[in-house]
Amino acid sequence: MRSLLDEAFLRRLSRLRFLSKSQRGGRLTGHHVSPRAGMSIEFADYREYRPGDDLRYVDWNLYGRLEKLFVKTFAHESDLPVYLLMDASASMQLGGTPKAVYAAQLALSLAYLGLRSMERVGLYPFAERVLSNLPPRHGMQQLGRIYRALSDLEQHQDTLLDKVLSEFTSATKESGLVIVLSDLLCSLHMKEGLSRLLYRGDDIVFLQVLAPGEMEPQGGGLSRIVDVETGRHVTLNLGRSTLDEYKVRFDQHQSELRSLLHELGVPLFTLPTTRPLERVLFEDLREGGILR
Amino acid sequence: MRFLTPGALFLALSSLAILVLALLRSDIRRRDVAALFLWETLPSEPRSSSIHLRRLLEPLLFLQILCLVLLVAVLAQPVASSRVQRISALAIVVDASASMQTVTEGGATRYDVAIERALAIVDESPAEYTAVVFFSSNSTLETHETVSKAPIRSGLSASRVTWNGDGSADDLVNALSAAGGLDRFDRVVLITDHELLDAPDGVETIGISGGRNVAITAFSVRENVGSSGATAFVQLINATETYQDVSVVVSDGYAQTTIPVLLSPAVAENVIVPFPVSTGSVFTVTMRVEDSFVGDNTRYFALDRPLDLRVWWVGETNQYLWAALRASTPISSAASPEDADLIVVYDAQIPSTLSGAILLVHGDIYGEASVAGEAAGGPVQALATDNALLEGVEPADLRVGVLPNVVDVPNDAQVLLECGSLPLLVTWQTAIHNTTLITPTLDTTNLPITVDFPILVRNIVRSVVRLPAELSYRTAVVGEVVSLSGYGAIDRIEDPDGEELAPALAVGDAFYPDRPGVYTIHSSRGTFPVAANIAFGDSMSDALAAANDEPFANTTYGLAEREYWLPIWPLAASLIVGLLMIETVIRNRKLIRWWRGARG
Repeated sequence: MRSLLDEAFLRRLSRLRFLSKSQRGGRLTGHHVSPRAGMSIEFADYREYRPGDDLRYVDWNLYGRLEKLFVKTFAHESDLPVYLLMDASASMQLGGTPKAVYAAQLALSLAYLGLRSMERVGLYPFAERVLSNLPPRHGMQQLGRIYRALSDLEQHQDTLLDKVLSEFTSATKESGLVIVLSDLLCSLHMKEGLSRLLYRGDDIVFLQVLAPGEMEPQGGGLSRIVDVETGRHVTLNLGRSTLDEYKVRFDQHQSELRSLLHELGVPLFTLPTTRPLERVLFEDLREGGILR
Repeated sequence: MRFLTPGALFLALSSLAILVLALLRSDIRRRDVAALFLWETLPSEPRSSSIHLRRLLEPLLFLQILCLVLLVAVLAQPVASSRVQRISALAIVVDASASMQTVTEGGATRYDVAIERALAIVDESPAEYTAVVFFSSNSTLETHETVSKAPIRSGLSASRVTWNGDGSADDLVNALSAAGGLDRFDRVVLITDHELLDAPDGVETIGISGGRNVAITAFSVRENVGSSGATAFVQLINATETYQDVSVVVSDGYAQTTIPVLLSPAVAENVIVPFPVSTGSVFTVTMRVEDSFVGDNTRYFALDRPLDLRVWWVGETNQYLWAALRASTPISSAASPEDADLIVVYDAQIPSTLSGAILLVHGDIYGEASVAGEAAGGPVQALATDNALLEGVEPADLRVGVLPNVVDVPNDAQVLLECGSLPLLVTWQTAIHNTTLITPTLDTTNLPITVDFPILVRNIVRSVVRLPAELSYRTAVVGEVVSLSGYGAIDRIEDPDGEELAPALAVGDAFYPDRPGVYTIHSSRGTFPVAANIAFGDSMSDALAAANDEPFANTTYGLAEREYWLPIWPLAASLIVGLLMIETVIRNRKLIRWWRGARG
């Protein structure tokens, strides 16, 4: 996983920040806007002066025009733990550009812009379980740790999302922004795990990374279809009708996935590995309200 | 096209093995997927019956078969036929004899003209094998086993005419035998200024003419018999169409005689020039005339005697004997008895171990011959009048006052003259020397004042310093071998310029004079001249020169088409390399795409 991100790309990323839909506070001051008005550098609103207010925040220009005392209130900015759940199953190695590489680049990008915004970022690779954990921390040193962890990631056999989400909930005590990077070509039995996370107050985002061949399979002929995670296989003579049937099944799977996540209010972004990362970050995630 | 090793074509059957393997190999492709549940229970399409045909139409299989076919072609070594107009072997015989130096009316020599003709023939008759003979009495041969004209043209242009005489038909056959023989050649062209007598059949002859010659066609010198001196005989030929007023200058190295001669057109003239007191050994005749060939305007002749007589004198000097010796031949003093041509012993004694020619005058040889006592002389009688020593001598003119009365000589000695009953002139030979004895001292006889004495001394000198018969009249022809046998141990040979002979011209116990003039042989037997002239026949070439440039015997040879085989298997081999590279690219195109993707 060499050269995951280049320096110029990282510079462009510095303009982005995470935006949480739920407005929850954290322990440390960060760029996440807290509902509690407080002292920070970002202006939030005006309110009438009340005795006891700090006279340094009285807007004297406004008093000059209206002859009423108003004080400026500022948004309280607290840090937001960002949990990156990275699928390390064998299926992520498929694709011309392996999905694992694409997902790792995306994860590293998100980690960078999070750490740069004074958020705490952690990494949790998973397959049939949570394989390891890199708890959320501040600072660019954490970026190096994440980079090494992604580079040393080994592929594992199966994906059991429900179990993984449950383990993750148990392993982490603080709610935050949970970003799941996976191809999600697995059993969609994960409602219970998602519910536990949501109940804890986490914001969850699914970034589904798919190879173009998985979305629109090409080629034909007698083929041995091998599941790289389980080793099971079927032999099919692929033709147009077979591939069309696959497309129907794939769309059905995606539809079920979207329904499940929509029901729980969890956003899903389906990203083919051919889509440039820059467009994912600057267009898809910004338009989806994940970044600003 | 044909194959040098057609048996290799059977290897093409191995392509069937490739086809069978291609049909038998599994065509199931592995496709790795992330989720098998999306594929399970999908309906499999029925297999097409044309699947095998499509398998055979795979580009990689086609390339492999093509590579195999080309490999078989390479092993079979195909060659392509090419037909060109070319003769197999061409022989160009260019007359390089001395007469080819004749300057033609155009300013070029006959040889230059001949070379131009030869170059034209090379251009018009390209051959696989070309032999060029520079034809003369000592021919040289160049062969070129190439169709390239450049080296042939270069060899012809760099060649030089010689002073050699005309070559004969045998010389031509011999020269061509070194190049594979006359029969090997499809075309033999002789370019010459004279007709080759008894020329082999099929030889195409091109005559070169031009220039007119006045020549010395004969030159000989004979020593006068019965008297001193010599006589030169000269033959002149005017081969021009006009009268020629020439001067003939004959020299013996000491004196010269000039004779004006008016030569009529196409007429030979003989000139006799006496040299009554000549003691020279080398004679030269030069004709002063303006003609086209100067090589035969000077000729040389050497008498059959050394250039000088080396004398080792023992005893009292006698001026009369010295004068007689000098009158008979040029004399020089020898440094030792071993270097002497003649040992003269005057009233003295010598050991019997000395070898060579000995003239004893009232002298002794220890243990072999001695004279003693005195007796009154008288008239002289000849006992062997036909002996060469007495040739031209009149014994009746001789008188003896006193002579030895005791003469002890070997038993086989021959008394030629006697006075009374006492020997006066005796000669004998032993294993190591040849001796002539005059028993009295000269001052007790009238020999010094008679004309017979120098004649007698000349005869003695000629007899005791007689050269072998094979060396008589040593007139050589340029380009022909001169034997050195009979000269003793050869010290060195000088060319006409006085330089030591080029090693290339010395062949064993012989040498080749390469230009006219007088060569000098220094040997243990003395210093001998050898006169070398261009062949007298070469002076006659002008008369025989072709009246026109038409061949004397013209045999034309058409340029036949010949078939050559060009190897084409290297082309097939290079195609294999190219196909393998293409196959590699096609085989690895997935790898290339992945690599590009990884970089992008």
